[in-house]
Amino acid sequence: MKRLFGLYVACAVFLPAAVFAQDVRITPELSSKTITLTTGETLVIERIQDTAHRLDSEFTKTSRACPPFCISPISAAPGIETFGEIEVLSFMENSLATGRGLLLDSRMPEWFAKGTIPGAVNVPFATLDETNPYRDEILKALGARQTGDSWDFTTAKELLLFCNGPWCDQSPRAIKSLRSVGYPADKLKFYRGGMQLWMLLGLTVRQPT
Amino acid sequence: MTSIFSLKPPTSNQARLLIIGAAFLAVTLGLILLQPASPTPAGIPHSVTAKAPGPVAPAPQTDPLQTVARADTSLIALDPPKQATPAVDDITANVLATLTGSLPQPAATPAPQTTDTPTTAQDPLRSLTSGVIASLSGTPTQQAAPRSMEQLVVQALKQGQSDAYIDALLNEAASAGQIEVPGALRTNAGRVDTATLLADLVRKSNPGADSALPAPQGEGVEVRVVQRAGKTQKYNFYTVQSGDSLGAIARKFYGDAALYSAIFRANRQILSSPDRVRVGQRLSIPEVTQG
Repeated sequence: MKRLFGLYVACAVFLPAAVFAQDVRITPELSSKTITLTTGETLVIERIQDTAHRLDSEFTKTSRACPPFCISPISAAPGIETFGEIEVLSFMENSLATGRGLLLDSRMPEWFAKGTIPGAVNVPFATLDETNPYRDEILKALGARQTGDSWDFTTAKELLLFCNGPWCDQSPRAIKSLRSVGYPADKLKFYRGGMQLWMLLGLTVRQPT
Repeated sequence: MTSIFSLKPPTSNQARLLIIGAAFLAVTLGLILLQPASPTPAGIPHSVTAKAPGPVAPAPQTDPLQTVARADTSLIALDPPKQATPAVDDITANVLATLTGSLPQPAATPAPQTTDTPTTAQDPLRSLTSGVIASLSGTPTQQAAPRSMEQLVVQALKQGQSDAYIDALLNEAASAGQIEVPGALRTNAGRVDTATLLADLVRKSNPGADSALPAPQGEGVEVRVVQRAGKTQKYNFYTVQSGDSLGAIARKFYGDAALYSAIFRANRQILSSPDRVRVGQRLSIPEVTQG
């Protein structure tokens, strides 16, 4: 106890910054973001505070074979807005928290299980492909309404899609699939950085339960 | 029977408890002894007697889990039972069965069986979709992630992925230790020989298409004809080329990757395990009588 107190004193004397301020903030004004979902679940997004921390995972690889792991252009498809991390956080606050939008992880379940952006739902790109005979069920779950042969997307959710990062074509594919059934372009957003940049910036990753 | 029950209910209850207890103990012991799913830990010489009842395979293969993406050679001396490695043939058969939907039991897709129709179990897209619907509607579900090479290949083929994608997928999964790769499908560079696996699939799905196998030719093939006392004997040799796996060589000579074990047996002196073929090795290719 005494020693602990001594440590506090030492910190207070020698490292005031470490005690009174968070070293690794998201922006100068923002140290962390807390988002409460409509379900009552609370998500906290912050960065890893260890300034010596390095990635030690799949995401340190530089040279995956292309094809298939090729570099994506900034835009996933014409008219689709591309987001960076700050915009992802705003989306979580304004669309996800209000229930207007969904954050979709387009990767296959085994990747999703390893860790994803908090609040993300796993909708593998393959399930949105036109070859999936059960795709209509997903479109309905996303809020689209089927009238005869055509779809009505006025009540459909705003979607922010991501996958493993700029070398991953799964979310662009998912976006193109959604566009081909008529999902409105202004309801689709693309987070190109994906897990690669999210993790590289030390942002909170959640293991789905 | 009824009289015993009616006369002495406590004793019959005790007897039932005893039987249940004994059965539980037996199953637990059996599971501990057999450990059906666990890979043999490296470095521990697993006792053969513990594996019990069946005969232990001659073990021409080394458990791929122990050699996957690891360059050290100390592990290959172990000879775990053969069953740990899925054979090339099994993989092909499983993939085809799953694709055509003719698999009797859903061995390839351990799908969540809770709310779905029985057909779900055989259709990866069905189970994927169910998982998506469940998570979109907020009900947690356990997703059936593909865990074997067959499942990965089936899934990728169903998605209409290119050969290059499947190759990258398998190699990524193999290097992460997520799937078991038969030794015969490892190239001398340590990669998964996806080309041979896929070619084998094509061949199996078109039976009879290649009944007349052309004589193997190309780089590394060497045929020696020896005439001795009026008898003519033909010997085939093959010098391992870059990118070859034992499965690929078997396909080249026999048209069937699954026959790699014949080559492996004939070259036991220079091959420590089926995934240890090296560029420049000269393998003797035995004649195989098919059918």
